[in-house]
Amino acid sequence: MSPRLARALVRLYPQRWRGRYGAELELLLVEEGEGFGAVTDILRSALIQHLRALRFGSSGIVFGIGPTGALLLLYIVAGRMLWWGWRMFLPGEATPFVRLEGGAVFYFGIDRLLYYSAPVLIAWGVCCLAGKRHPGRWWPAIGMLPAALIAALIHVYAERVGQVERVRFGLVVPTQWSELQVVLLHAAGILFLSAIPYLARGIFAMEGRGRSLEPLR
Amino acid sequence: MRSTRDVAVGDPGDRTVHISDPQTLVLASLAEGPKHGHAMLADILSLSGSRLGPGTLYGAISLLEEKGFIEALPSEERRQPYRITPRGLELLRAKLTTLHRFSTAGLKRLGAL
Repeated sequence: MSPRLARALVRLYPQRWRGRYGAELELLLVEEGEGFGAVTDILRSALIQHLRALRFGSSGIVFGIGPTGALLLLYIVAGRMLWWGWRMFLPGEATPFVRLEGGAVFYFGIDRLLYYSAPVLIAWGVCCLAGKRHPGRWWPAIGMLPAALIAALIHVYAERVGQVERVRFGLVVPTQWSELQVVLLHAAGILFLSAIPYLARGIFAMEGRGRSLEPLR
Repeated sequence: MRSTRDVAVGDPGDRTVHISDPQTLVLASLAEGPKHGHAMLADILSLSGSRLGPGTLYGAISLLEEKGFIEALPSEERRQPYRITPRGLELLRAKLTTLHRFSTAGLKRLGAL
């Protein structure tokens, strides 16, 4: 295999892995790597190393896709609550989105609170966890970006088909600029609320640093 | 699920270690003495008839080194030799014993047919 191709293939591996084994592998590829089989072997192996890097860096999963997964889970819980409440409090209604009375106000209030606050609750959970595992790092918040976007796009639908109550979720993709603006504003609002603990931590950290500069008495 | 890829190392009740076929071949090759990647590929080919791809070989080497079953020796020119550690020898012995027990039982069943 040509040294140029060998170098290009080795660059497909994760940086950390490449730093340790890249030079040896590159030499071996130049000497032994012949044919299409060697190329596919490297592609497969590089993919495995990337997956391993993800697996062993469990923080990548926890803070990367964790918020989105947790958000979807909370939406399922909220949807289930809506369905139960509909059957329990509003058995004759065509939709649960009607004027409520008595205990139903409290029940659906909690459900609505869970639905609307889910992304922010998750973000604050992420913040607590990140503060323990990766203090002072901002990257654990990246996983909140897709979660905030989903929260801005998701809509809940409730319809009665015959005697059966159906609750489902759907993502409404904006087709006009004005709709996109609303979605982006919504997502930005969620991200701002999510960032409150980060900002607060930053302010306290700055305050702490300021205090430490004061002369000892 | 337990399979012949999971072998118990050490005292009974210890955790099992998952060891893939390429890792077994690398350990078996290094059981003869320290080798670098190029020599390992040639040795594995003569030992088992299997030609490991360079990526597969280094995937196995990195896992085994990470778990402490092999270790790197000072490099010779641009080549990096590796040797098996006592833990690696223990693992290889356990793995080969498991395979031997399995193949003996399987062959016995085939003989009974």
